[in-house]
Amino acid sequence: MNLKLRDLALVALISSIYAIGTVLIAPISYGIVQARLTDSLILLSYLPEFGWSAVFGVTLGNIIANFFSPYGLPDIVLGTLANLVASLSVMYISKLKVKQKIVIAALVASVEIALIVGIGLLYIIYSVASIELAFFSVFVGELISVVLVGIILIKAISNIFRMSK
Amino acid sequence: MSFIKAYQFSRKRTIIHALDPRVKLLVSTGVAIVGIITLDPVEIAFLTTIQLIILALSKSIKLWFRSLKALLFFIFLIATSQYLTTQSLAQAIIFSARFILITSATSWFFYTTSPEDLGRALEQIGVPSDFSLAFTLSMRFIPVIANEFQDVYDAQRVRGLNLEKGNLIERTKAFLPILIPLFVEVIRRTYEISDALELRGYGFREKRSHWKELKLTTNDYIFLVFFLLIILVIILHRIYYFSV
Repeated sequence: MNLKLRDLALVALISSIYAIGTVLIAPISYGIVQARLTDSLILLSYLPEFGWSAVFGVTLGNIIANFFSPYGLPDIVLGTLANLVASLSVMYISKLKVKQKIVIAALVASVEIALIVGIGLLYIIYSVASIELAFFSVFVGELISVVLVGIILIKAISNIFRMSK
Repeated sequence: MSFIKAYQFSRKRTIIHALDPRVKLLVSTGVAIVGIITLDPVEIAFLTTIQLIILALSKSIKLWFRSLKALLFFIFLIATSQYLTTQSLAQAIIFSARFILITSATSWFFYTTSPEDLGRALEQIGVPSDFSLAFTLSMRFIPVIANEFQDVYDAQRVRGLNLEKGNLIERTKAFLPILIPLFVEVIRRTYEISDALELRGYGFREKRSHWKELKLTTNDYIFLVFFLLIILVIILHRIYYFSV
C-alpha cells in the first residue's frame, strides 16, 4: 500500500471535517468574540498517528473554512498562518520530554493564534479594538476550544489507537 | 443540512462567471491588497465603485447586500473604536469603508468561481499537485462527511444521547460519541481513497494531464487590461497626491 497517498487522503478528510465544523457553528467561529471549537483539531498533530497529515489538514481546512469568513482575504491568509504555526508547534512539543506536554502544547497554540488572529488581523489590519481586547477576546475563545475541548478530544482519540493495537 | 448552501457560489450565466478563474483570483487579490495598504478615501471610493460594477455584472448585488447585513455589527465596532480613539468621524467612516472594500473583494470572487474552477486554477498556477488535489478532494468530501455526521448524530440520538444537559465539560464530553465514530469512519475512508488514487495511477507520471485546460479568452484579456488601468490610475493618483 502506498502510504504517501494515504497521508494525502487523511489531509483532505481532516480538512473537510475542520471546514464543515467551522461553517456549522458559523456565527461563533469568525470575528472578534470567537470560540472556534474546530480549533480543537489543531491538537491532532500531537498524536504520532496523525503528525504532518494533521498539520496540513487543519491548515488546508482553515483555508476552506475561511472562504466563508466575512472578513475576506486577510482572514484567509492570517488564519491559515495561525493554524500552521500552532499545529507545527503542537507537533514539536509532542516530541519533547516534559510533564503535561499536552497542556503546554494547547496553551502555546492558543497564545499563537491569539497573537496572529487577535493582534494581526483584528488590531493591525482592521483596527477594530484596543490591542489588549483584540488579544484576549481571541485568547479566551481558544482556551475553551483548544485547551478544554481539544484535550478531551485527543485523550478520547488516543484511547481508540491504544485499543486497536 | 442547510449550512452547505452557505457556500455562496451559484451557477449563473454572466460575463464575470465565465472569466478565467486565474484572472479573477489575480484581480480580487490585487484589490484586497490595495485595500489593506490604502487609507485614502478617494482610492477606497474608486475601488468600491469598481467592485459594485463587477457585482452588478455578475448579478450578485443582492447576495452582497445580505452578507453586508451580517457584517453590520462588526462595522459598527470598527467605527466606534476608531471614533473613540481618534475623536474623528472621518476616520471612523474611512476605516469602515475600507473594511467593506477588502471583504467584498473576496466575496465577488467566491460568488462567481466554482470550487472545481478554483482547484483547476491552483493547479495551473503551479501549486504542487499534491496540494491542489488535497484541496479538490477536501471540497469533494465536504457533503459526504456532512451526511456521515448527520447519520452518526441521528443514530446516537436514537440511543438516547442528550447534548443539551450539564455544564460546559459535560456538554463537550457528550459530543464524543459523535466525533469518535466519525473519526473511525474517516480513517477507514482514507484507505479507500488512497486505493482509488493508486488504481488511477496518481503520481505515476511527474506531470498530470487535464481533462479541461484553462485558456485565456478575449474577455479575460479585456478584464486584465482594465485591472492594470485601475492600478495605473491609483499609482498616478498617489504620485499626484504626494507631490502636492
